[in-house]
Amino acid sequence: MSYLSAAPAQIPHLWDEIVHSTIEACILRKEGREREVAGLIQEKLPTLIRRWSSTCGLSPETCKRNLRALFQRVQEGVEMGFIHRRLIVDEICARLSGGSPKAVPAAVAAESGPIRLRRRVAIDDVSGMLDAMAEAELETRREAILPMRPAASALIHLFTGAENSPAVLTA
Amino acid sequence: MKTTTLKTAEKATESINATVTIKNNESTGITSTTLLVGLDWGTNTSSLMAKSQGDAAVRLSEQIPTVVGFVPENVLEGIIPNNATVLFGREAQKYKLHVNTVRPLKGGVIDDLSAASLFAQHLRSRLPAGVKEVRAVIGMPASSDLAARENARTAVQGVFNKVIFVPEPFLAALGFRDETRLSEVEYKDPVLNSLYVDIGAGSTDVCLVQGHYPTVEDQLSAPFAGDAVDQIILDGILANYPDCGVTLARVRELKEKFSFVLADDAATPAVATVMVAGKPVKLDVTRQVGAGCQALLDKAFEMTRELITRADPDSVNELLQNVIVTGGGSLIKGFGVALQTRLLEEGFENVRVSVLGENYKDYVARGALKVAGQAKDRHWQTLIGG
Repeated sequence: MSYLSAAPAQIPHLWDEIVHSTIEACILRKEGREREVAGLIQEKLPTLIRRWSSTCGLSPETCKRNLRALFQRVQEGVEMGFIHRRLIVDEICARLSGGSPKAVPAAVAAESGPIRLRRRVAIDDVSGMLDAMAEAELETRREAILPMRPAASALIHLFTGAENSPAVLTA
Repeated sequence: MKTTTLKTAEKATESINATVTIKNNESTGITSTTLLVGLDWGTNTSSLMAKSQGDAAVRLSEQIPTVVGFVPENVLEGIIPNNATVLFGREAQKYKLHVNTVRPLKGGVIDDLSAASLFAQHLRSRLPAGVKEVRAVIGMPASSDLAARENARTAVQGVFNKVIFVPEPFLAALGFRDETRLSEVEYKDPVLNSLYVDIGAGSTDVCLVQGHYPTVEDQLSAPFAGDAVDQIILDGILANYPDCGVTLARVRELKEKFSFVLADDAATPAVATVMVAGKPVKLDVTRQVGAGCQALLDKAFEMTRELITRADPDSVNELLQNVIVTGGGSLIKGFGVALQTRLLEEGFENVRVSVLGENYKDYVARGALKVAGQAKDRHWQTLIGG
């Protein structure tokens, strides 16, 4: 199934950037980095979308429809990506460590970044903080084993197409 | 040398295990309490606090230099107390001429796992006897990764029964908060709207604490802290006095004694006595010590400024009055005043920087103990052989 149709030569670059930024915003949101998400969806994406929609030669309605389809599919794709990663990585860890899902292979641990909370927890809620820390540790472990950004490349290809295909969703 | 150290470590482990086993056996049937432990496992000094579960009273509060001294096999009998094969903390420092001193931690995380395990067993031997189970909340640097946690977990296996690892800035904030004074009008709750600058050995961490635990966006971390300052001072000294043979350990001592960031505080010159060809030589290292500390101030200032710009503009006025410096870097003479001055010069208004000072280690351990008291069973990680 093709999601792409023809457009002027300079358009794919802008569309690719819109796809990249949308995927990045969705991943950042899952990582709890709301300020960076805001930077993308309030500043970078609107500028890109304005430039793309004014030069792509499609009607405003078609542009809106294409963007809506893109946003919906990227959100779903990233969401599913995180679910798949959780299932796959937890299974790998459990098998490598003889059934203990909390053990982390040394080589993987060495690749991880700092463990930080991804959501807000009130200071009085020590129990909530410990739950959030445990979640963050699990997510850090998963990210070390299967980084989400390279895994999301399938989504990029889905929307940008291969070999300089003009990148506009079919109306 | 390494083989000797390993053999000594094995012997020491057996000896400590025996001690711990005896204490546990002695306790059997006497009480069945669970002991809660708050531990700030620091690169230079560790702070240990303990209380019984359900009790408010702290049963133990102790600061122990994080040092392990392995006694070489060729040391004559009678030199080391009880002919011990390994010494810890102040005793290891006292006999430093006769032992191979190892610092198990570097940059706030475990660097030598076998020495760290021995040190952890020593910590356990300091705890009150007569307990069925020991649960420890252990502070970790905010920038520590999974590998650092795995190493810490391995090091305390067989020492504590259950553990939780929590970032040190969280614990410092909790420990600094005095819940008994929350109803007092004049009490300024340090976790409502504050900016913590935590300067450790391996990293400087700056975080916003605004009624909630800092998230990934509320923190900045840089691998530039006490250890980097030591290196700058050492490089500076060796550049001026290439043959002086000063070591990093000696530089650390000099820094702890003479560190400063304001010119006025340099009125007492930093004079190091070092041995050159067996003769004591006095070197003025004031400039080198000042340069190292100044570099740290510059870094802390940059990070603080960056985080202030990230804070909600409506919160900034109050936030600027609650900038709190903690960690070993807070002991640098004049650091708080200098940071406050830099922020004011930058154009921030009504800035007030306070420094936790000597007690900062206690705040982390106290915070850890608070967490231990409120943690649910599901939060504790059970260790094999604990």
